[in-house]
Amino acid sequence: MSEPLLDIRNLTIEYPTPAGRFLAVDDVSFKIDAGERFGLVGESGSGKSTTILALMRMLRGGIVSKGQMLLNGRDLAQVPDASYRSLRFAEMSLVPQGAMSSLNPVLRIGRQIDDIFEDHGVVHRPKDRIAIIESLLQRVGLPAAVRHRFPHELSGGMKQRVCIAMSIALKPSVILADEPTSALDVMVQKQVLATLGRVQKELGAAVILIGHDMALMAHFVSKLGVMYRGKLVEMGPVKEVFANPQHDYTKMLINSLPTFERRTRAAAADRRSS
Amino acid sequence: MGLLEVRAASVVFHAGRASAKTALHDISLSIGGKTPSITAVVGESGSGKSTLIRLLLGFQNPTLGEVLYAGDNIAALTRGAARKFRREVQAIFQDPFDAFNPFYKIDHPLVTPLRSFGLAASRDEAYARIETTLRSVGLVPENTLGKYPHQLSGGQRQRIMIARALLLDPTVILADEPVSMVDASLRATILDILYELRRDLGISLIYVTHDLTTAYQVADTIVVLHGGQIMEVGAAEKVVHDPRHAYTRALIDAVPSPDPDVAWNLDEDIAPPDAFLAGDTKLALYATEPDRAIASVARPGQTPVTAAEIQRFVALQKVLAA
Repeated sequence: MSEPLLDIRNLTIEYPTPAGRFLAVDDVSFKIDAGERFGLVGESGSGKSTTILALMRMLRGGIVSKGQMLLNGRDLAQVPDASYRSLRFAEMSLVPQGAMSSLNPVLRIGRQIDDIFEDHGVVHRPKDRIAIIESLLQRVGLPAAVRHRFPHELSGGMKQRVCIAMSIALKPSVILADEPTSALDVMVQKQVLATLGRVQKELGAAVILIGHDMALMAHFVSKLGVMYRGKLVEMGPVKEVFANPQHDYTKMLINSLPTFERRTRAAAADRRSS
Repeated sequence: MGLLEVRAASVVFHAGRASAKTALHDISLSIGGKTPSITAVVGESGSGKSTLIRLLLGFQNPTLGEVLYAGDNIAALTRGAARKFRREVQAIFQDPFDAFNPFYKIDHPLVTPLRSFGLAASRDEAYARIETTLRSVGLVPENTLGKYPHQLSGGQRQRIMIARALLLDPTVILADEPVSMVDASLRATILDILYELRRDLGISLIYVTHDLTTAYQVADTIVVLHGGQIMEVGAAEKVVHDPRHAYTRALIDAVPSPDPDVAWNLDEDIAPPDAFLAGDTKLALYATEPDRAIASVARPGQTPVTAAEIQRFVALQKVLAA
């Protein structure tokens, strides 16, 4: 058995508050293999975003009080802040929740992608750099000319795809996607998810998809974890979780999924009585 | 004729001299009247659904066409008729966190409308009425009244929004994405309440949403709006289970099934949204069946129908079936 790509062991994260410490993530452990698609669901405040922000070392005010995070066998806690910067994008990248607000409004898209290479000391001839940026945009289904655009000239779905293009620029081994489609229309959501899935497959990277929509998870990930109040209450292959949910919260999530098969209880009752 | 009617209304926004955007294009709808109904208006961002709500509330004047309430153009109502319109047509908005003034207790937005419309003679009468209404939407008055908005959950606040609308004995309720910001576990409860309003109180509902599944769960008629035009209108059952317009089909295909074993074809290409509009060519609705119509480029020699006619037919069928 080969070593997992990412190994999270007993991760515990707390926030100090005036009323005492608040346990945002409570003893969470999971492993992800190379190229695997892992989904993490839970309602707001369940600790799912905190978990991946800790991975990126982007927690604000939170403290990792216990546990280990191993990426390719390396203990991330031992990496000093200065080198963590070179780890982001290159080994793991984040597709943030609000792509709308995570791009710099005063820089053209091409320049923002360019920054990633500059910051990581990647050297290209200027002509090659442009070709690389254009091919990145094309890989996420955007026209190459988008590099000349400012964020406000793009739609929400296009901005989200720019963020995906940026996340794969340095070919990381794991992409962390934090509700990448939560603000998008259904058709755009499907396109963005398809884009993420396609580039992930091409790259052979693993994906952690964070979200609260169980239906999306059902079709995108192979392994699913359910978080509730900071704890990972259930984890398994996605089909098994759906077929045989163990925790009450998981059952509720599955049962409250909207479908075209049933009407509301009231409407269903009316139909039975008529 | 419907109680609240949109007749051939278009809304055009001008940005400077050169550019104009048609937010709504020749829309006719019919709501309420003898046959109370629930109509869901389904559309993505930019489809014109928010403009439609503003139009129905009289916050936006149509560039062409008119909106009538009880037969009168709402842009030119007498003082008395305008008051009646404001009381009888109520709205429930999307964001239960934004709708309340944080400095007032929750009692304030409930008592004030009763007082200003003269619906309660005394404070005790007002509170009696408020308590009954709160119970009807599943809230416990003792745990709700006297609290500030921040002490209540999103689901509780959205129910208070519904109670506030109900207090005024409305005939029509316009609900703009009422469940999109409510936790999944509470959505079904709120949709149940909305559904029961029509059944038990005869209140007609326009349910505006981006979510075809919840639209299907409550509505009699579904209106699919895209780029300011109606793409398909018909009985909810038909629109969802046998969609005839390509845009409706694309919209339904984009909704992931809650069953992991039902394929979702993530790899297949999706047509760009503009593909369903014929550029600037005017589309018209043509009936495929008595209870459904779809948009197509004008067909000479064939008479177009309006969404209002389809809505009325579906509502009538519903009454006849009961």
